[in-house]
Amino acid sequence: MEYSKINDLLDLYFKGNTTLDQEMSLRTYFNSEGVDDRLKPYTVLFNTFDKAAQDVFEGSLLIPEKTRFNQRWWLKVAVVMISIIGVAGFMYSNSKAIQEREALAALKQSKDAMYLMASQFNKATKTLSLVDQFQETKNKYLK
Amino acid sequence: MNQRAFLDIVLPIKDSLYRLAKSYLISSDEAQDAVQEVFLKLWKNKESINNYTSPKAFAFTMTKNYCLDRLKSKQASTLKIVHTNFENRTNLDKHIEAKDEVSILFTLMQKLPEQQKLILHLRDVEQYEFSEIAKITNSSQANVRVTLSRARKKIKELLLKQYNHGVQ
Repeated sequence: MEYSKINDLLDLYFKGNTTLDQEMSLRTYFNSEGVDDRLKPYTVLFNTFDKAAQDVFEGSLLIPEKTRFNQRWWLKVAVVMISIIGVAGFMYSNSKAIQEREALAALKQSKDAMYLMASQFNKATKTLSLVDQFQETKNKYLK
Repeated sequence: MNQRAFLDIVLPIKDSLYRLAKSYLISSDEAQDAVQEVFLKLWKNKESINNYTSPKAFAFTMTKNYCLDRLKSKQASTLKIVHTNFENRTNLDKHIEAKDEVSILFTLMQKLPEQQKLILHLRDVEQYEFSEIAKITNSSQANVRVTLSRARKKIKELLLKQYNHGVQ
């Protein structure tokens, strides 16, 4: 391709008005042997773009598998649920035991109180028997 | 979405994403890491990937942002090293790598504003149609043309400067 045609294309290129096809022909021109001396500075540009485009990703990509991810997700939920139920159950049963103990203690206290009262009553009735004795003796003499 | 369907979407653009990452990060190792990271992120968001008008555009934007983040954190660490007067090994590596032609142009491309660089890469390396680039960059086709023209002119200017430098 002659100089003027390439120069026109270059002008269009720098104005951002070339099509992909036109850019392709620019690349082929600058990749060929007979580049005009006046256009030499641009060879680096087009050749480099060409080279850069051939660069590919080497090595492997690590993408975690979905199934394993899902299983683990369920496992986590299950573990959390079980531990919540466990802790709640423990606390529930624990609170019941405390209530029971309190009730028993109250029962014992009231029993003790009852015993105390009963023993007082017994004492009183014993003393009352003395009053009966007095009544009897009095009746003997005062008829 | 299962693994098969996911891979059907992302595998065809694997190389494109890699080239894009490389144009930002220069080093091919880092570019590979970047693609791997982006793929993991995409996989994590795989349920929402179909909500985007173009999963491809989404992947490109994600890669671009990831690379910019990497550069930012690298810049921060470089600054620290300079501050303590140590020889910076990553800079040295970059210098060696920049000796091949591809990297020379890529280093020139680093001087372009973000959008110009992206569009230039998508057009001249990936050879995408303007309609496709407009979708990826979320702008109009006319806008893409203008930005592309600016990018190409700027690269031309930088290239000629360097070329004349070499001749003298």
